[in-house]
Amino acid sequence: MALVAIALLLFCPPLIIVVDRLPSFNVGWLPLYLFSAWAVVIGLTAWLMEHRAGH
Amino acid sequence: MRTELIILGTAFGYLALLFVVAAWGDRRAEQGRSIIGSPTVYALSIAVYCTAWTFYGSVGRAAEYGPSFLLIYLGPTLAMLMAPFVIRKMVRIAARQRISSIADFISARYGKSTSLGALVALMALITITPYIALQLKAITVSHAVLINYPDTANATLMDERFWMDKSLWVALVLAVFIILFGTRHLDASERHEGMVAAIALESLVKLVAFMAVGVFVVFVMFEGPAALFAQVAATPALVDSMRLDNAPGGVTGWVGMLVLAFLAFLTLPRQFQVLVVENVDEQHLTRASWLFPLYMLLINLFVIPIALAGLLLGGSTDDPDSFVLTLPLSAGLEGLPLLVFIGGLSAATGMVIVETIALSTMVSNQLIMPLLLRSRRLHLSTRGELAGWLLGIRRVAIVLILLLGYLYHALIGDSYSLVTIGLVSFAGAAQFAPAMLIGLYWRGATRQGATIGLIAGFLVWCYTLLLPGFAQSGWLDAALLTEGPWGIAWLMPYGLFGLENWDIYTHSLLWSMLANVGLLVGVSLFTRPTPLEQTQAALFTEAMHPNLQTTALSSSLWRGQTTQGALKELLVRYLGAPTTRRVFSHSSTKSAYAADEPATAELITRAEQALAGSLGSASARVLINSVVRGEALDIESILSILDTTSQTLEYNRRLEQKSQELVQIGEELRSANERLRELDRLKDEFVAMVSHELRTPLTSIRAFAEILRDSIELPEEKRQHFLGVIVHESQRLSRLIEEILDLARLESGRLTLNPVPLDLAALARHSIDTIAHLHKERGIELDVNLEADPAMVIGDQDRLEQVIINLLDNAGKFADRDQPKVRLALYRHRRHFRLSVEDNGAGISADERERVFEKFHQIQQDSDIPRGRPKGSGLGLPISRGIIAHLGGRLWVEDAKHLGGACLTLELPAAPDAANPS
Amino acid sequence: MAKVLVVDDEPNIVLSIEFLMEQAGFEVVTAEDGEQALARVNDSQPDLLLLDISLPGISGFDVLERLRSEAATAQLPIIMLTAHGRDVEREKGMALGADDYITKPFSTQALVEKVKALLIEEQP
Repeated sequence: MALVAIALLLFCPPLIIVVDRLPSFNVGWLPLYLFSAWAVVIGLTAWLMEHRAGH
Repeated sequence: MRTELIILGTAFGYLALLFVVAAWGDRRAEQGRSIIGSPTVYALSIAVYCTAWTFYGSVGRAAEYGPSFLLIYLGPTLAMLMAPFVIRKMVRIAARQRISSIADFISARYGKSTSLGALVALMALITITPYIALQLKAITVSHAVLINYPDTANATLMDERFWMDKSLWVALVLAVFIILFGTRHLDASERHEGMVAAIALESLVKLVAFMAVGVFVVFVMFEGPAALFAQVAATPALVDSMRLDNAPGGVTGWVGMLVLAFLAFLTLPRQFQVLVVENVDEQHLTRASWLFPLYMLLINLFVIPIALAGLLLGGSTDDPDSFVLTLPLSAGLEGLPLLVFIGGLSAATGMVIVETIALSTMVSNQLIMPLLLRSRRLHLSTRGELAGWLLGIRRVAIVLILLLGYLYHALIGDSYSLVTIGLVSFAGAAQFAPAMLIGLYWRGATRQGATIGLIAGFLVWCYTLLLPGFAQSGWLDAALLTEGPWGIAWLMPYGLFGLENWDIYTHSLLWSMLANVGLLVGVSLFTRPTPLEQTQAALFTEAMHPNLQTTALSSSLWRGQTTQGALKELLVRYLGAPTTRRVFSHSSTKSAYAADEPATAELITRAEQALAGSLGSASARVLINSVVRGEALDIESILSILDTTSQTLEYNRRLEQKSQELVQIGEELRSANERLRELDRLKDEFVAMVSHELRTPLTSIRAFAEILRDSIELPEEKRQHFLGVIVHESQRLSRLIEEILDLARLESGRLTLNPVPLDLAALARHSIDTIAHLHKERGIELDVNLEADPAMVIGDQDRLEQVIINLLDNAGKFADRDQPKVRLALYRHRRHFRLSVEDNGAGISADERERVFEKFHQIQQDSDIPRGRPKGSGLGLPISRGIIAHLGGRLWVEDAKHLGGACLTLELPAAPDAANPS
Repeated sequence: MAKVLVVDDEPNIVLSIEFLMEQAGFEVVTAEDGEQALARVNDSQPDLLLLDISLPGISGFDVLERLRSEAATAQLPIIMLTAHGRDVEREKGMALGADDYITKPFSTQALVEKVKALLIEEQP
């Protein structure tokens, strides 16, 4: 469990910077990426937490 | 429709709703059916993080700086991800130690230090008051916007007298609310259930309102997100608005903001309050750890679209902070803006309520209480309950804080944008983080380190953010910012040591954290914690240790002595009678309260906890200390309890060892005892045997002597016979006595030997001669075989002869009945001479070979052979062996090689001169 | 004439007692060990038994026990001869059913008196 959390932790900052370098269209990928990444993280956490609570 | 009245009515109606919800929540709690037992409610209450700033300011920030506003929410997401570890630990500690605020937490960690607690409370007051002002300002502004649309809000704002300032009234109403629902009970362990319920409701309202306007903007004003984005793409000015470049400070600013939000989320007093203090169940954290981030995601979903829409439509006349209001207003709606306003009100009031409660608790516990405790007058004059006093103090604090906030808003607030104030507060609150987080994991962090780090961080923060703020609003010389103090460019508040053009918050964060953490660690390394500090440090850092789960630890924390009566008096004075009763009745001791009985350690600990819940750990400690004589458990004991596993193993091992040693000793003792008894028995046996052996010949002697005396007429031959027997038996007797004495001397080592070099061969011959006539009597055929001649050995002549004769005699006795044969041989064996005597008798069985050398041992012979055998004393062989041993040789039994019976061999070392083989 | 059986592994002692008994007017049979003693009791039917305790093989006590366990010899007068001065021996002997005891070395007079006493009892 700890490993997952740390993995998630690492996931956010550096990757965000990397992603932003991507070429943009209209409004830019960044916000989209941010939100979707955010949603993914939340989803994973939710799944993990509920899964754990189910033990 | 947008009249003052309606707006006011709605606003205060909404507040009334809050009252109702809070009251209902409290009633339910008292009935035992708590609402906030739900993790969802808990998660929603955490959403108090999203204040009016979220509501209005996010859009504003998005419009100017792109997606960077999201960082303020991504940071807390990360923090919640770590909830199972960090936050849970905090929650557990808080529950155990009855922590009432973040100041209490930090103070408790560093040895329940009053000074540290006061410092934190003061800092909190300074950093958060602007934030409260921010909320009030938001209310004012949003109200003005609502009323004045489509004119700018400024018109109204300029005219305001303070009694017309709506936010003032809101503040007062809030004060009433908080006093009613936040200071019901003194004990922080009793949750403010009603208040939390109200907060949760507010979070819900916020979300609904915001999403409503978002939906409206995207789907009604435009035809969906695609259309919106298409329009944006068509507008060159806006195309790049959502890029990273817009974020202040670039990449470093990005990271800095993330870290800032992360830290502030944990340390903002209101966050600490709802996260830790108001938490009822650790398990709620699991749900909240994803539910709250989800909430944040949802509420932020429409920020960007709204911002873009606003930019597209409004131009620069509108304050972007108000887009959420102006947009629906511009579309001609009435109801939605009102809803939005209520949403904003909700956000603002939520923050104010919780923050004020947190701050007032800190102020009353960490600042006021210690001062009161020091004042002796208070001790003596109050005989009744101080509880009422404390609550009163807290209420006054609440009012004062709110007033302070309002004043700040009224006097200074104008020159700032919302966001700025918020971030400045964040950075200020973040100063608590090092002391708290590092203290949570590093036992070595000391009070001095924390204090100095805190002060340093605070000073840097002041210099890099607060002061410039004042400069910017004209209170200080603006040149400070551009040129640095006294013209020293290196010390420019916004660009210390040359780090210019950074995002000011990241910049401030960097330097303040550097100073804070650096000094915390540095000073801690050089200072020693007090025993109490060590104890607390251990309790904090090891809070998740399974061994601490048991209450055994808490009951053994105190070693001091006090009477139950003294304790009760103390508790009644500060907590009131009901709480005191509760404390005493929960004690595990079944016995009734007895004033003069010493209070158990458990009771003392419970009392301290109860006091801490209301007064803060520092004050509680002071109070308990005043009553209890003795010391709290030291670090060694705590660590020992924590290390029970390893210690138990160690103990077990040592116990094993000891018990084994004991067993061994027991064994040795037993065997020694056995030996002693054996020896005793042997001695008894020996004595018995000796007496028996001696009496036997004596019997004959006496009997015959008496016969001879009493019988007058006795045939001569009979007389001779009897006399002969007497003589014979007398000889036998004296022989026996000699042997016994020999044996005794041998055993006690007092056998006198005369070792001289002598010829064994000659001695053998001599012995044979001596025994010759006896052998002849018995008809024994003697075969003599002297291979080694001469055979020089060192020996005692008489004794050796005694041995040889004994051997020959034995051989003769046990040789075959009909044709007794005895063979004597003398030969050399390496550096020894061996003399062997064989007989052709039955031989000696293997198991008897050693036993023949026992005292009084008689060789068993077949009993159907008709008797007449001459009996030995049984001592000959033992004595012989002893003599030979004394001369450095050996005597043993073998199978007779030549005659088939027994063979007794003695071996003696050759005399040194005779080393040359002959 | 009363017959006395003398059991002892020391020939000289047997000799002395034999002489004493004959002098006192009794017939004497002898045995060297326990086995012999039992055989003699069977075939000679003595009127009294002088029994040494320390015998090779079957001990005097065993002989005593056996004799007492058989009806024929249960009442046979038996005097124990013991070289051990210990009380335990004496008590054991009496407990097993001996009628009297005498310690070696004994007084010849005492021995004869004890024998006579028991025999007279037998034959009033």
